[in-house]
Amino acid sequence: MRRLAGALAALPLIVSGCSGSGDETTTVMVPSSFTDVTTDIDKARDVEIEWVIAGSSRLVRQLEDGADADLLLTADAETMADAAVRGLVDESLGIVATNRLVLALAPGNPGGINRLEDIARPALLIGICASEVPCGRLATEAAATWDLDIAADTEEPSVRALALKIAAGELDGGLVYATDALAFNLETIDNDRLAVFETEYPAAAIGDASISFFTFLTTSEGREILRDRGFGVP
Amino acid sequence: MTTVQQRTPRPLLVPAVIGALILIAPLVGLLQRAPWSTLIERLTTDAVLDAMRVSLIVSIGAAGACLVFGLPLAWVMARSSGRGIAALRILVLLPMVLPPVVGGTALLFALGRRGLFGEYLDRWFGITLPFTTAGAVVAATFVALPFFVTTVESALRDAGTDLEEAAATLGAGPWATFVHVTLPATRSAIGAGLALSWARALGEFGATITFAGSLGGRTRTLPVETFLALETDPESAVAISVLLLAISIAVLVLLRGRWLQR
Repeated sequence: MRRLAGALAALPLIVSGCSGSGDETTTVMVPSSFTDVTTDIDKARDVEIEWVIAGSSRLVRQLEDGADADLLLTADAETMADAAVRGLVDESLGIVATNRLVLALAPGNPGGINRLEDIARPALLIGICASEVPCGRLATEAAATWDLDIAADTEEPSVRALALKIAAGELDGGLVYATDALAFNLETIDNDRLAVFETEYPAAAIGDASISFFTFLTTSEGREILRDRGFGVP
Repeated sequence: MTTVQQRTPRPLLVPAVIGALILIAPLVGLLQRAPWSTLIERLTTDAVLDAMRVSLIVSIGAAGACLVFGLPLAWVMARSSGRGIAALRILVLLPMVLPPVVGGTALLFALGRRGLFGEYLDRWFGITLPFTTAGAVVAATFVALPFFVTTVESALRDAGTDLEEAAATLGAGPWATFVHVTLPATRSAIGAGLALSWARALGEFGATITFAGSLGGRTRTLPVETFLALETDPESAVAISVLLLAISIAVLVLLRGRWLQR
């Protein structure tokens, strides 16, 4: 039944109008890049958590449409600020994790990419995230800083979709998060110029629900899980 | 016009109304959220105009591919029988029920650079379909073809073979019979098949983004633009949705003679 309730909570149309959660189950909204972390946390803890996993901006949209949750985690500060401005979250809990851009390479490096500047070579198949999503905003910002004209062949709607196409060898390389490169076991070019493009994952509580999940992430066990999946911890 | 011959049994009435509402409610929801006052502005930004151009090229290309490959396929299916044909009919219908994203993934594994056939396309001819407009046409054709083939095939069956046999008796060869007898007899079905497959291709999203990706001016079609706009600019997404809805309704109204007048 709890699973069913969780599935329904993900459907904003159905839950709109329902009042706050009174039961003991915590509902936590996390961005797609946190997918693997959620399974690790479920394994490590006895507490049952209902996860709602989607792109950060979609999570905010769900809240706005009346979805019920106790905690929101987003993949960048901008999206969280947006949620705060709309009055969808109550108490800022601080930064949970960080992630950074890497240049991920297709298996076997068919494009012969060996430096960052190669992403400007039109002959190569290069992918980035669309500018509408956080990883794309970060890539655009990075390109402007490096004064590089990225010869992108596709601007994918999610970082996972992008990493998948690099892993399948359909793209020669692309700018993804360190965590996604790790999830797909991709070789990366990861240097100081890339490392400065970091994104922070802020958390915020909704209502006065339990924040034990947030507390767990700040313990050494929680930090270990995050690090194992490629995240940085503040 | 037909007349109501009997009163609707009461137990059917409520579910029927709910059924109609399930179809109508989302459209009303969309229309009431549409930014009517800024609709034209939102539909004429560079990004949307680019997407319109890509969508037109891709959907017309896909409809053309349906005609070139689907018409012969429909003829073969209508004029042959046997177990192989029955299996073929199921395969032809498959893209209608398959989630398009599955179709796109399958296309990637078949025609991608590292795909089963795509590897040879790349090595022998230097053709890589993913991330190109041609790739988007292939993805749209994959989902649109069943609409064309089933429409034309059933018309070919309904038309029967009497005229074709008469033509053959009078000395016309198979090709002359096809061009001068079969084609004129199924002209309206071919037109309907073209309109349906074009509309389906225009609305294609899942297979396109999975197989061809998304790049402005090259592979970012109107549905892909809508999906991305939802992230940051929902009002523009609704504006494009209204446009696509209007086109879909226009196509169905155009075809009303075939489906709506019973």
